[in-house]
Amino acid sequence: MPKTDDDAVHHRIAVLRAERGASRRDLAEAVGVHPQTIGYLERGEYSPSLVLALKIARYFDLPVEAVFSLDPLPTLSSEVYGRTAR
Amino acid sequence: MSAAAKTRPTDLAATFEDDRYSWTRRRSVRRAGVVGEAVLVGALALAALAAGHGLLGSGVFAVVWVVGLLLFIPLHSVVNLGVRGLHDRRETTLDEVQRTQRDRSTAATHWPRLLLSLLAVLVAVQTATSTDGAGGASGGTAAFSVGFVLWFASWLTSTWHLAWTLPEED
Repeated sequence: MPKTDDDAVHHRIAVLRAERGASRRDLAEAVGVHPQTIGYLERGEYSPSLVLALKIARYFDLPVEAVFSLDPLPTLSSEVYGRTAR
Repeated sequence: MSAAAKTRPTDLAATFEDDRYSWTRRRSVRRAGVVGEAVLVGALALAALAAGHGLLGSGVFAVVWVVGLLLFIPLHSVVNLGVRGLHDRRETTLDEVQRTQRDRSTAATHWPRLLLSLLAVLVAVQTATSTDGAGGASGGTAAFSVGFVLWFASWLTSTWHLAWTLPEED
């Protein structure tokens, strides 16, 4: 679990997984971890190692900085349509 | 691909991952199991102390211990299934989160385990060197039993910590 907010790793795993129609188990098997681990990552209860982050990025065929960030990632609506959340 | 994915799960690891035992992984069940084990271990220690002071006959003491240790088997099975056996499985069957969880509990309970182990050794030495015959053979057995309970508790502490602190699964 991240010790402070500064240690938190923000990510888009759940969004990307929903977009690809992949279950937690699919992703977990592809990157070689327990399905529960994907749940811990998605809930922000664990920050992945560099190796795991790279594997997850490779699974989604995206650069690692598109999936993980030290700063909060912009939402899809603001990224694509330039709209901010109300 | 990680070692966890490359390695075929052992029968032990497969048992710990079996969905039939998912009920044991609920936080409430895990915590109830920890409380149950702690009460049981405490009761065994109290029985040993009572026997050492002549408050419990050797026959009753033996029965209490046999029943207590038999009860411990299913109780610990539930607790261990609840934590997916993280302390008992081969390293290669664990992923990085599971290793972190296991190591965190081991580190967090380092001092309590050390203290309990030292107390167990002290009791053992006391029992071995005691020549005043206080309580006679039953006194020696009781002291040995208390030492055993202390060592037993030191062995269980990190599993208890793990079972108590693991987040709820979904």
